[in-house]
Amino acid sequence: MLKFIIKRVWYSLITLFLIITATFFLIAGAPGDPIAAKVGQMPEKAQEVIRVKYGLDKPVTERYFIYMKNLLTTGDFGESIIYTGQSANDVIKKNAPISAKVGIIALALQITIGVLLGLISALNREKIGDHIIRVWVVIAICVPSFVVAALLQYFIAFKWKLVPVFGWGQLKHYILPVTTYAIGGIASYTKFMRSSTISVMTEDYVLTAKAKGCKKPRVVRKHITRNSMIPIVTMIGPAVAGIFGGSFIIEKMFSIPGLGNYYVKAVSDSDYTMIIGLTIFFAILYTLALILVDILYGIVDPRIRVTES
Amino acid sequence: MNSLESNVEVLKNEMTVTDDMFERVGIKGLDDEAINKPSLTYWADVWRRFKSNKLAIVGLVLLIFVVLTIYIGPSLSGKDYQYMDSSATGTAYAVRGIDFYLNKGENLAIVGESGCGKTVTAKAIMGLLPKPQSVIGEGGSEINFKGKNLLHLDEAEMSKIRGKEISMIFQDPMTSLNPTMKIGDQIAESVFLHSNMSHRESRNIALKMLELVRIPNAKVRLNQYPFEFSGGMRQRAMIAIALACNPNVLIADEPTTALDVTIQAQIMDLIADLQKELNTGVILVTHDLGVVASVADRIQVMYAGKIVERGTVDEIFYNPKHPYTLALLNSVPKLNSNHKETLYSLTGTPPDLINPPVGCPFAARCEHGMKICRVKHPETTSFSKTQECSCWLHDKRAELSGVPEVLVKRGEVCGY
Repeated sequence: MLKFIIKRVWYSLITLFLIITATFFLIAGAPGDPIAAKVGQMPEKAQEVIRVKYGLDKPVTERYFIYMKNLLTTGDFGESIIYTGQSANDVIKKNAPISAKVGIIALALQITIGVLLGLISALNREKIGDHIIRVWVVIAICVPSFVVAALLQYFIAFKWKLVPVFGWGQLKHYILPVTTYAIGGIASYTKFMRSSTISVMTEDYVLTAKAKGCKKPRVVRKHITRNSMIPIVTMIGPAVAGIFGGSFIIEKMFSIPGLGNYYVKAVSDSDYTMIIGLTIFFAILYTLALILVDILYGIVDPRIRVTES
Repeated sequence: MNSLESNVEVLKNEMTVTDDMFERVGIKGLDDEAINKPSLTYWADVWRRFKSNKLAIVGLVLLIFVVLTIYIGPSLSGKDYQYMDSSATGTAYAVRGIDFYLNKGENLAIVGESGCGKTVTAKAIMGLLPKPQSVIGEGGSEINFKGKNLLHLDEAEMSKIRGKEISMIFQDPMTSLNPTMKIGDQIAESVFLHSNMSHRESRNIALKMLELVRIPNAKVRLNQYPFEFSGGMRQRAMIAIALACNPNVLIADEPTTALDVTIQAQIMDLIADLQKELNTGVILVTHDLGVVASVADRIQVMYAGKIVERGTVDEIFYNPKHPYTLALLNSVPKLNSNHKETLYSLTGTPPDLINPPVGCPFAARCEHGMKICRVKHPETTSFSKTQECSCWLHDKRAELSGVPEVLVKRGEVCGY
């Protein structure tokens, strides 16, 4: 297992290196000028001075080596061009936990409620409960998150005044964004769980369990649930990484000072230190999530478990 | 360099761009109402405009309608299909009135082609047929076990009998074991369910069971998963699960069909040995007469949901009375046969049980069929205490020219 993890981490490092390199050159080659975005109305000469300060006057390859040297020796993603004095690390450190809080709560809700609803739906197949859940799933998947957010804001916050419309800092501010974020995910987990449970229910080993004398609740608990969770594990990896990047719309609508906003702004301003810094951050998260999924697979499905050989 | 830096400083001052200007301004400091109001009036306005716009409402209703139709559509047609299944194409009468018994410690073989109702019979005894779709009997049916009619028991009572008193082994060991559960736990589960033992004690029993079914290195194997077992070993593990509670009856539903020939023999020997050791009654369901010859005490031949002939092993093998039994026997390859002979094979397939034939179900495939066979189902003729057969050939008026002697000879056992 340790050997496997070391191997996976090594591969992830190679992947990260490639991602950093590719991003660096792509951003350098992309049109747009961060200095112009920052101090566009300054005289040409003054802009030149700032350009020199950030090292942007040097050729791309030289900048690349300087950047890599900095990154490897200090772990610093570099000072943001737009937000003077703040390094990308600071922005991540300050804002990532906020995105993470919303995302992790939402993800936990998505998985638990989604798996439960999927199980209920599959076990009551073609009954009224199943129909209600399935209709809800289609609607929840079809309706985009900003529409859900707007509806929630209108009804729950504005009409019934149960929670604030937006804002950040207290527990009550979590309710709407987390709900919005969770609804779509719950629907897709439900859909996956339902179909995988239905296929597991027709497996021979479920009949074996019944023939052994298991009553229905035990059959579901011991023999169906774990086997039907296997496809769900695949979905968890990208979802973990998506916690930080994917919630841009929701963060915008509920005025959450999360990371998504910075990411979009960095791209539109070609703030290349921020872009690369955030890209590295997301890449690290993604590769970590994938390793996590591989380990989770082994826990859920012994056939995929890594052997020492 | 110095001049450059001061230059930047000057520029900064001119711009009055300072670092603290880029700090985020929290909304706490601002008036809540001031922020909330514009956004809310905006949404309220949208809502008002939406309400006044009939087209938008119609659009929304249409959208919901389309979503519902797309989603519910398939499930409705699925129901229609089931409905067709039960009315237009009709109900399949998989088992049509059979009557048999199993003595304590006896080995009864049920033999017949695929689709003759053997597995349905076995599952009916276990109460494992899917509930709303399948109906057993018209009220008068009985499956009696130790004086109880199993058909009258509810799920909870049935699950106490399953695995403890009556167990079952299934056809395909590759799919019959839970892939995500250790073999030991799967065996221990049935012990745990039916006794007051703790998990640890039931695992000890599981270990003994694995040793009993002759799996080498049982201690290690106990903690392995099914994918680490070969096909024959998995079937052994299945047998261990089935026998863990020392049941009175073991139903083996084609236990060797999915295995290769050498493993088949091992598994059959194992079942026979354990049956003697534990004094278990066995119902062996199979389509292969060769498999049952050495282990069964009695054989009953099923065809199209009916028992067409029954008797002891000797009677069935040496003195078959039904043309179908003879055909099954002839299709078993013989060691001493001339290799140039074509292996006998019975042409055709069993009848459609949704519309079962009126007379003898085998009439259409029978070499010795008469007119009467297609009109009326034959009476049961008994040949000895144990052997009986339903065939018109045994009527006094039957035309016997060309019928093999073995079929019509009465009384004493031939072939000795």
